[in-house]
Order: sequence, then structure tokens, then C-alpha cells
Amino acid sequence: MAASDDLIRIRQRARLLGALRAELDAGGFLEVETPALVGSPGVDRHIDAPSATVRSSTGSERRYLITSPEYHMKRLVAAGSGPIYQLGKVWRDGEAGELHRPEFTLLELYRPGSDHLALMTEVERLVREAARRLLPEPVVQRRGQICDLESGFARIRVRDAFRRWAGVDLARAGAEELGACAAGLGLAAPQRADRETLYHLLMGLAIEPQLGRLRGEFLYDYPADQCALAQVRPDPEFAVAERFELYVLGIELCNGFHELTDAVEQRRRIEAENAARVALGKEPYPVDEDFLAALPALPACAGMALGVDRLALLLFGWDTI
Amino acid sequence: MYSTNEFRKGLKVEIDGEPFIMIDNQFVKPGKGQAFNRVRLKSLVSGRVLDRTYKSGERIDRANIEEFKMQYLYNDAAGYHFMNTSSYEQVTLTKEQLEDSWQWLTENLEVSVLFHNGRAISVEAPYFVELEITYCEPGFKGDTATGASKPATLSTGAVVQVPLFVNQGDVIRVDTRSGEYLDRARR
Repeated sequence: MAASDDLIRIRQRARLLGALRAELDAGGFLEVETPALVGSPGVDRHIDAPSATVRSSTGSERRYLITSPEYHMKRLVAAGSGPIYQLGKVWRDGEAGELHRPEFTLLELYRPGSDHLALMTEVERLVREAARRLLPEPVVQRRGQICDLESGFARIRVRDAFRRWAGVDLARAGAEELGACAAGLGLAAPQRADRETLYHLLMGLAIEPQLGRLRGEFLYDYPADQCALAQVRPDPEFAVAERFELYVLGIELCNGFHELTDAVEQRRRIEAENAARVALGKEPYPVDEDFLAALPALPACAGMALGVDRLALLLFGWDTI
Repeated sequence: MYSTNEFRKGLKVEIDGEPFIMIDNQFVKPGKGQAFNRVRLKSLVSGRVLDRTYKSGERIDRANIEEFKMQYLYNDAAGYHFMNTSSYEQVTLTKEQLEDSWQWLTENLEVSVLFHNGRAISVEAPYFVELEITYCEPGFKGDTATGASKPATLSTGAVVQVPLFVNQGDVIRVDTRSGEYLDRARR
């Protein structure tokens, strides 16, 4: 890329950050900065945190670069900060591609008293307003496809999306049916693919590319086992995690939750993720006891993390992030 | 072996003993999910194209591929014969193995021969070759409805489309990658 392209891009990024800040400040959010080098990174079987050895007066310690500022931001909300946001870098080892970088910029925000449905409305407004401020018309395009952000964003539940684009009912389909579905769609599955792998394969290759065409689209009510840090709504047929993701032209822009506030359940999930990491041959991470200790004071709230680089790519027509 | 984080276009890999070249690599990671590499592979032996998906961290065998400059000698019932001009070693490939490149081979033409595990598997001709037209109809029949080109048979037996003003006996330059006429060779 020529130096002049770099200059264009950094100016575009500056305008985007300014537009987001203006909207968030007007929405009553307080901007915060939390640590980037931590003792306990987020525990997720599929996300790896780069680490560094840090010397201090007490000796040498292994620290991790955050994969998301979630734990510290929730501690602030638990301490009574009110609605907060953070614009900052996060790191994820081993992620590289057109839409992935090992280091990228996340906008992460929390609104006490909100739930995932209300937050979807708020995120829609945020993205639309940013587009209105930055573009002559709030319309984005990529590779011959157009998405009009002015129109109301569509919403579809994960189970319905799978019925529609994969022809399977997640409430009933086991690994074999998902495998047959993938094969039927012409998607080569990796060898020895279990049900979780097939679910992600179908999600990434069959469902996601269909979302957010012509208008922004929220995918919500995820299967309970994909809950991460969201509340789970029990149901005899299909328990769901109160989680949503926003898609524009097949690109995942943000991940939001009606946040889990139950410390016992949260600890159980962290331990389960660490066990899954070990089973995958990865190192487990230290548990963030400060975070778990603060959780009982966390009010009901909703939060989300949005990929600023991907938003820039869509708004300004970049090829890669 | 190559791990998924080393995947890129042009990588030469081996699957079930068959050598492939990676012609596309896509990193896919659905939100909070597993990462995959979706790759497109082209066989260096048969030319067939495969789509494969690998979980992040999976590995594929490297293909033991070597490329040597060799000279085309002649062809007969046994196939097409090539010789390494420094070692005088000869290899033979069948017309099927050559895919399209048999069309451009003239005596003593220098080509690249690909070897997999020591066995010759394919040949790449130079990008441009000069070949004589051994048969074509005379130009300008006054019939504009047929368009501005006509088929011409070359000394190797290949048939390419040439402009109407080109004649039998002319030597022309051809782009071997597209199989298209470029211009008449300078004498």
C-alpha cells in the first residue's frame, strides 16, 4: 500500500473514532481506560492471549495482553460507574486474514439496566448515526453488494437462521445431521469434526455470508452452549443465550450480551473453558478472582464489543483491515 | 508439515500421496467460534481442483517438488521425451501428463519440468513460443459475419485463432498461458 493510502486511512480512522465518541458521549456514556496487560485474560477455548514477562519491584511476572477489556470494565460497572465505553486495542494470537489481525481495535460498552434486545436498538442507532456523520449517505458497499444502513436492521434468531439457510433444526440435529447438512451444501468438513465444529463451520460458511445483505442484520438468541458471558434463558426445547451479533454484508461487526451476573455460574463457565483449553492442548489461564468477587455487585446490564477496524472497512470501502 | 497458520497461495502440499498447489486460502472464524482455513487446491498431477476445510492448527504434508530446466527432444508412442542438458538424464511424460503444454513443444525447446518425489509429473512451457502455421485458409473471404479471425493449425498440431491477414507458412508468436495469438514473429 502506498504511503498516501496509509495517510488516507489514518484520517478516515480519526474521523470514525471522533464520530463514535460524539455519539457515545451524547448517549451518556463515560469513556474509560482499563489495563491492557493483565494477570488473567478472558478464558475462551478458541481465543489465545499473547503474553509478556513484566519486571516489577516484586519480581518477574507473566502477564497477558487482553483479548477484551471485559473483566475490568464489569468491575467498574459493579462499582457504580454507570454506562461506560472503551476504545482500545486488543490482541488475539493466531488470527490473521482479510478480516482478522492479531492486534485490532475494539469499541466495548456496557449499559446498566439494559438487556440484549434494548442494546440491539441502541447499537443500531450508533452504527446508523456514525454512518450518517461520515458518509454522504449511510450506505455501504463491498464487492458489488450494497447495504443501506438507513433502513431498520433485521433481526433473526440463530435457530431460525439455521432452518432457513442450512435446512436443519439446531434443537434436534446431532453431529451426523449437521455433517450431512454441510456435505449437502458442498462444504468440505475437517476430518473428525464433532458437533461443535460442524456448528461453527455452518455458521461461518453457510449462515454468516447470508446476513446483513441490503440492510443491517442482528443474529440473536444463540444456542445455550455458545453463551460465553451471557445469561441463559432456559427452555425445554431449545435453551438460548441472550447474545446477539450484528452483521453487515456478511461481516460480523459486534458481539453483545445480556450480561451474566451470577458469580457461581460464571466461575463454572470459566473452569469449563479452561478444561476445554487443556483438552485442546492449550494452556489454561489464571482465574480472575477480582472479577468474580465484583460480580455479585454487578447490576443487570447489557454490553457489547464492536470491531472498529471492520466498521471502518465497511464505511470507507477498504479491501482488508 | 505445514500448519494452518503457514497456509498461503502457492504452497505445495501433499494429500494421500498426490501433490497439490494451494490456489486460495481463506481464514474463517465465526464470532467466538473455532477458526478454520478454507483452501482451494489444484493437483499438480491431474489438474483437478479440490476444496478443503482445515481446523486451525491442523497440519498437511509438504510436497517434495523440484523443478528442472530440460530440453524437449521428440515424441513417439512412448510419450514426450525431455533431456536435462547438464546431466543428459532423460524423462518421458505422456500426453495426458502434459495437459495443454504438448501444443507448444518444438525440438530443443527449453521447458521447466516438475518432479514429485523424483518422478516427472508435468511440464511448463515458456510463456511465449514461435510456431509455424502449417495450415489455414487464405484470408479475407469478404464474409464479415464470421468475425475477424480464423483457425490456424500449427506445426505441433495445436489450433489457434489468428487474424484474417495471417497466412499459411507464417511463423507466429503464441501466449502459451492463454493459447492466444500475439503477433507474427519478427524474421
